[in-house]
Amino acid sequence: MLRKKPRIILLYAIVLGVLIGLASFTILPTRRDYYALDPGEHGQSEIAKSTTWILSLQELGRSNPINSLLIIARDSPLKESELSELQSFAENGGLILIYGSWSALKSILEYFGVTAEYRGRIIDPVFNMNNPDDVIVYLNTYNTSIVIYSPYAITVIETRKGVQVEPIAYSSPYSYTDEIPNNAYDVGEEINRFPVAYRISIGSVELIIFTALGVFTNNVFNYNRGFLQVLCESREILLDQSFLRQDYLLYFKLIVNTPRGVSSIYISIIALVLMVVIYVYRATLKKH
Amino acid sequence: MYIELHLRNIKLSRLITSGIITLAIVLYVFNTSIQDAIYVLLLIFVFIPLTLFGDQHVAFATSFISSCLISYGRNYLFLSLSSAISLLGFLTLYRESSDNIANSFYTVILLCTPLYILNPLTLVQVSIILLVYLLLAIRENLRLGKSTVEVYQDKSTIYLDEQAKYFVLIKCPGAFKYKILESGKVVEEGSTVNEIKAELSRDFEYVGLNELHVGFFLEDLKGLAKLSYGPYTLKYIVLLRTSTMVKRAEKILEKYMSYISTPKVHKVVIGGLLQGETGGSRGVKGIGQVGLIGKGALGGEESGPKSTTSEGLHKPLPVTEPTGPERSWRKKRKDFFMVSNCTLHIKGDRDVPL
Repeated sequence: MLRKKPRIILLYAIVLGVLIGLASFTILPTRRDYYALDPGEHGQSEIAKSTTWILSLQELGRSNPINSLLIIARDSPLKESELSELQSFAENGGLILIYGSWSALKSILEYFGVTAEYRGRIIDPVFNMNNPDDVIVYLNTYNTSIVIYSPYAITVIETRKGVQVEPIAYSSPYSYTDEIPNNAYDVGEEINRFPVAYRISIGSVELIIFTALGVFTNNVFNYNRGFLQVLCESREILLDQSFLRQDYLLYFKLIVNTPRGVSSIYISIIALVLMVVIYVYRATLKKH
Repeated sequence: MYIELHLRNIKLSRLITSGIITLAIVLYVFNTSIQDAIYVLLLIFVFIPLTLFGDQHVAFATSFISSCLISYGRNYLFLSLSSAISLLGFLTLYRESSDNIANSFYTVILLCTPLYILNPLTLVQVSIILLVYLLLAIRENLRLGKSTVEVYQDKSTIYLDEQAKYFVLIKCPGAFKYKILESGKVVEEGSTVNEIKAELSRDFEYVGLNELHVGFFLEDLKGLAKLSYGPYTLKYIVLLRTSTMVKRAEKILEKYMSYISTPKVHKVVIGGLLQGETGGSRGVKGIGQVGLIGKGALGGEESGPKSTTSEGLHKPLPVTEPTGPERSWRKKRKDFFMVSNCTLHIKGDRDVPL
């Protein structure tokens, strides 16, 4: 009876374990805000299915800006180099839609010459989607309503010369700013309709900024599909994922995945490795 | 010439499998964006020659992996094609292989686990070939279930220098592999058709009751079904022949002889012998280096010297009366020899009765 050496079996077990680990890691969900592969509420897996992922903002130079809509969602300030790439993209005719945390938006506003200050989170007890954080807002320009997640109010203090800031969306008149952050109305907190989106124009550069944590995140994406179609028209949608470059594992997942599933080259490599392993296994058996 | 020879040897099932793979590649190109699947299609294309010309096991592996890759097309058409490819690949393996296929089958199915994780749709074709495998295994198991094993014991009592023989008759319809095991160790194995008769023998080292545990292991040629019989216990009583027993005793005594110095024999007259009485004793073979010459105290008849020889001691030892110094020596020395009427006791490292 042929007895295989335990070391060989161990080797095969390790190879199989590594491949299974890689495969599992590739398909298992990961939680990260604005991540294209996060199927959670704050992920962007829904919109990611119909977009092209931008893994580095330098890739924007290779795209056709006039026919592109770039969606940027961030929870941390952008770097100077990234901002200059954005400016270059916008100057070449690209449309940019931005949302995210106040720190991220502030860095962008300041770069493009807009000084603003944070007032507080907007809570709308009337016009929401059964959740005070999912606020229904009305877009004047596009004559449509959308749902945005966790909007906040800002006050534009001043703008650089040549920069135009135009509010394009408002919350309902029943909304208030939760200046004392306790998720409840306090005396003195302003009840009003607040601007939650701005169009910023600097010559040929055009930016749309939503002062909200989510516009196309999974929790509100289904409400805003129509708006996205109106906005992009025939443009190609580019989804920024370059902020994940520091996180190697998440970045690796992005590389081996595509909007239409696991990438062809990744599957091919795994299949090829498997074939080699099986071939070696057969050769070992024959040798014995 | 080499290629022509290979082309003639291609089996139909392999041609059909490769044809379906090629068809799937073409459909893939028309149905999906080529950029999305370019590497996958290239790999499948590379696998086609291996499916055609590789050995059965490699052909099965390539066809199965190709089918997994084709199922990434994620629609019913590609799912059907991939199922057909994997099934044909398995049937090629089953039909063409003359040796164990179970090992290859399980290896390929197990090692492709990462592909199932990446695309759970591949589990459809895995299920199909597992089902076919299961059906074939049931069929082989039913066939092996008709087998019978008979064991005959030649005789249950044997002598130590004989071999214990037993006969085995294994019957099973069709071709099968068999192994005969004694106490878990394979003593005979092979493959045959319909039946096998075997005569086996075994040596026993110990006298008395010996047990032999005999087991049988039957397997079909493809390794799909296995069946074991036993273990059955055969009992043998092992006996010693008398001559063998004596020889053994002699050997044991010879062994101890080397540790004993030449004994000194002293004649001790106890009360004297009557006329006509004989003294002395016989030496025992192996020890009996000494034959004593008995002599009546009154100078009567000589007692007959009866000595048997042993290796290294051919001469009878002289019989002397202990004199003065020897008497005192006898007291001091612990090893002494005392002769009574008919028994010699050697007291030393151990007593040996004669």
